Amino acid sequence: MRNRSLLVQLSVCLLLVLALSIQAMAAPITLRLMTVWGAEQKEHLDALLAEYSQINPDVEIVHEVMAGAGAALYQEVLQTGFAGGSGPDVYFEWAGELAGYFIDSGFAEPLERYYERYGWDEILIPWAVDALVRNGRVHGVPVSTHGMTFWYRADLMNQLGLEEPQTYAELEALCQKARGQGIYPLSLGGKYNWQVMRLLDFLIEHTCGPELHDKLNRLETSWDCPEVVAAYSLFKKWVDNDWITPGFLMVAPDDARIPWYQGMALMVFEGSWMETTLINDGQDPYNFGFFLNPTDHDPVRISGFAEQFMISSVTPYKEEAAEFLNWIISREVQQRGLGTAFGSTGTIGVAPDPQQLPNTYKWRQVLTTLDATYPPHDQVFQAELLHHFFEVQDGLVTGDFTPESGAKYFQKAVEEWKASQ
Amino acid sequence: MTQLKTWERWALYIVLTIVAAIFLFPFVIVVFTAIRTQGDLMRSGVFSLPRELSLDGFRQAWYLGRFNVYYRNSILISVTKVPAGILVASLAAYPLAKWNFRARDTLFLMFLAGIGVPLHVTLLPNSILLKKMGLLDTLAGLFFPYIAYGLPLQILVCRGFFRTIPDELIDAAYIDGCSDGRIYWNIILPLAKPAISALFIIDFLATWNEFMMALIFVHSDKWKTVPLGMMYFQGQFSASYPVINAGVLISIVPVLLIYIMLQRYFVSGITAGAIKG
Amino acid sequence: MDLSRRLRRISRYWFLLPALVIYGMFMIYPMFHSFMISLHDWNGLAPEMTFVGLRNYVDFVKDPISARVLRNNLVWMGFSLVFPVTFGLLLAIAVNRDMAGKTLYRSIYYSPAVLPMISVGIIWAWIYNPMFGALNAILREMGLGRLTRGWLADPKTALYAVIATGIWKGTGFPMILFLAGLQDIPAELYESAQIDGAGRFQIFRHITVPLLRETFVIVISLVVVDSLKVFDLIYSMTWGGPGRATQVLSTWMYFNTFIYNKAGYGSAIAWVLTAVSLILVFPYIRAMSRR
Repeated sequence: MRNRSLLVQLSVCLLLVLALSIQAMAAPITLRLMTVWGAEQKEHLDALLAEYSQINPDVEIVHEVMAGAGAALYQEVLQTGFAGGSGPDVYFEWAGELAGYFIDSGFAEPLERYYERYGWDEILIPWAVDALVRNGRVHGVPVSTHGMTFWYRADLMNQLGLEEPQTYAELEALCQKARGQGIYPLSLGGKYNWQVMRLLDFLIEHTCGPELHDKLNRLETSWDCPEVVAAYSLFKKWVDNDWITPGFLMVAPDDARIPWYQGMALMVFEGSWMETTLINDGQDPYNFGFFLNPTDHDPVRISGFAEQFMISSVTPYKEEAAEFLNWIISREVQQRGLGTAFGSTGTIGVAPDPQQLPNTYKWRQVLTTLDATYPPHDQVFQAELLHHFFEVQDGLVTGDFTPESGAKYFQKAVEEWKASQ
Repeated sequence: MTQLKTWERWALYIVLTIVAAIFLFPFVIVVFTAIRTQGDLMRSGVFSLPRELSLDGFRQAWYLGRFNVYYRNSILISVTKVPAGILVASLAAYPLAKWNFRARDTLFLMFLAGIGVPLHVTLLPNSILLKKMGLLDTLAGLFFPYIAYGLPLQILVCRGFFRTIPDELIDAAYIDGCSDGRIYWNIILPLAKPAISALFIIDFLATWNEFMMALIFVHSDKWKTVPLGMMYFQGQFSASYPVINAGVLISIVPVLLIYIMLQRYFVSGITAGAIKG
Repeated sequence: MDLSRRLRRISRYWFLLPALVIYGMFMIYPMFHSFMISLHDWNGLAPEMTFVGLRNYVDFVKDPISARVLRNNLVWMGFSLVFPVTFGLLLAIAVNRDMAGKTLYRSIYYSPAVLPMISVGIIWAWIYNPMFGALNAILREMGLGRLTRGWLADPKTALYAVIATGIWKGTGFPMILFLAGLQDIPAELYESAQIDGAGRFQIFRHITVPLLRETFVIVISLVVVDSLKVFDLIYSMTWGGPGRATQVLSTWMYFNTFIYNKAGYGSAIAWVLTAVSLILVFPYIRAMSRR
């Protein structure tokens, strides 16, 4: 008897699932927007997006978030979505190769006609738009601009009697002094590789200079050259001198901040978004500062990148999507959402409250006036080649590579990769 | 079961408790992390005793993870899929375990092949298929792939346990004029109760925590499940550890309840009388 | 030929029908689909696909990384066959008796299996952390300070550190299968063995283990396959690193398919994985099924 009632319950549940599955009637047009902006940011952005539907009652923006675990998961969802015919209408992407995958596969709409129609060039930060160009075309609007460099703890700096370094030699002297007093100069989290890459990218910029660095990125010259070997040697020096927290290779990026907050490390290599993170971690933002990494070249370039919103080339609602983009990148909306719905901006003349977010305010000025950046290598190389780059990076730490063998190995990987394309 | 002397009983308890402490240590850290503030965690160290207690992580997790909606979805899919899947698997396992027919080994091999298939390669074909069937972005769209993906393990387990049921019992039932359906329902299933409970526990856990298929097959807020909600705890550039771990604690309550409810079927000797006939 | 008898015999197969339909649509068809992809050069998204025959499989055999990936899976399998299975069996026997706190102990031993990956990754990364990790702190307390290291960062220890977490998380699963299996052993057998004066170890060897035969088949098959399929722990704890030191078949398949955008090659790895599991497991189950 009990078995029979179980069966009845089961079929009732089944029917329930089917009934609930019938789609509810939606608004006339639903634009699906996909981003990586989770946590509180999603709540704020959703509230902002609801306003858009109030102004435009015939369009509803539905925001879907895939956050966490770096870029891998997001790319996978987007890829399967497009391949299976259920991709979003508007979507977030990084610049460079990650977005390039969707552009090359034909799922990103070129946007020049909308740039012209809405005059976007007038309001967007020029280097950010340039950073999005692929094969001479632009497929997105920048919604954030980020820079990355050394952040330090002001109290520790004072305590050690140190000052912001102006040259690379001064930076090394600072490291030596901090280490001499038992404090690790830099805390890194090497899991996913990109945090360590920031330091290596900077060292490459320092030894190679802007011109050669850019040529190396374009794979126009051999990586097996003295300048790259010099950068690898410097990186090894940082590791061997314990200028970086020991055993950093598999530490989660979030965990790299713990020794920093506990006063065991002086600096981290982080981005312009850092201040919000500091506040969320219960820290006083006035106790932290950043200095542009001293490359000894003119102009001093830092690692910079933009992120973008793109329009799917297969959506039937391209005009509505462009209209929506025009609204969201407008100065008024960006200003209102900055710091809550948006972690950053690609629009000129948008700034946070200098009292509340002193460092972010300073960053905004740097990022709007910056005339040159170098892109982080994870946006330069296609992932397969990038992982060879990371292999060398890890191998220099574990001892599997010397600077010389590392440069040779990566150049070989470059040649093999070029041949396979 | 063999009887223990008093000192043996004590020794057993001590060993079991030490093992339990080791097993439980990471769990304790999860709880500690969930009930403190991010600032306290980062400043005082992750293994320290919480100084700034706060249940804010739970409140935020409930709200950010949309547990009010996602919990309902997860419960709906779990209470339908798990019994249905085990029913389908045990139906198939009965002939595979107890009948002799030519295609038996081939069929079993085919079902077994599924346990070696990495989930990721099935995602794209299945999402195309579900879209064609109009089931993409619905709970029903999770229902069938979940069953298919659970079958290999469940068939293997059911087949193994059904094989321990003596053939004489089944033969006797045939002689009494029982149909195959009656034998399955009145003899096989009741005798395999411990195995079915074990499967229920395993499958409920797997279904409740399933992430990848739900991520790919569901994109509307109204059909998302608990594991997807946990994605919202992480921002683009940093994560709040208390919120994540509070969310995790909220999310595992049903799984623990199911476990505690079902483990009472693991009572030694329950089948002894039945097997004697 | 007796038609009605034949019909009756066919009608018995409705038992298999629901499983066959669902499995055929949502498992066999995708497997076939992925096999077709494995014969192509494809980025996973673009409309162009180039047929390359078996080249992806040849490439896999030729690539030196494949050997390391397979080796890591085999190491994982070796440890998994010894530790979670032994621990699972011993704990199952221990908590199978009628004793105070039975439910509590059973729940504690199963609890690691319940904890979602997101927490496992965070907490164990803390335990292994080189700067503030619990493991290093314990070693220092014990005067073994020279052993401290970044357990996941050192290529020599990274895989084993993840395996240790795997053992912790993976013991609950065999334990409940063994618990279920133990219920099939009639209490009378134990009683009569005791009356015959058999020792505890003898009872374990000659009654418990032989009568758990079908459970062992299930547990060992599943452990073998799970070792080949292991993904979550590696993905969330080391991401295949440092370098490629902890890449295993399924993460390597994932990296190729979704990160390197080589869907053909990734699908080929997936098929290698499926084939290896079947080659290891099916003959074993068949041999054990003959009586």
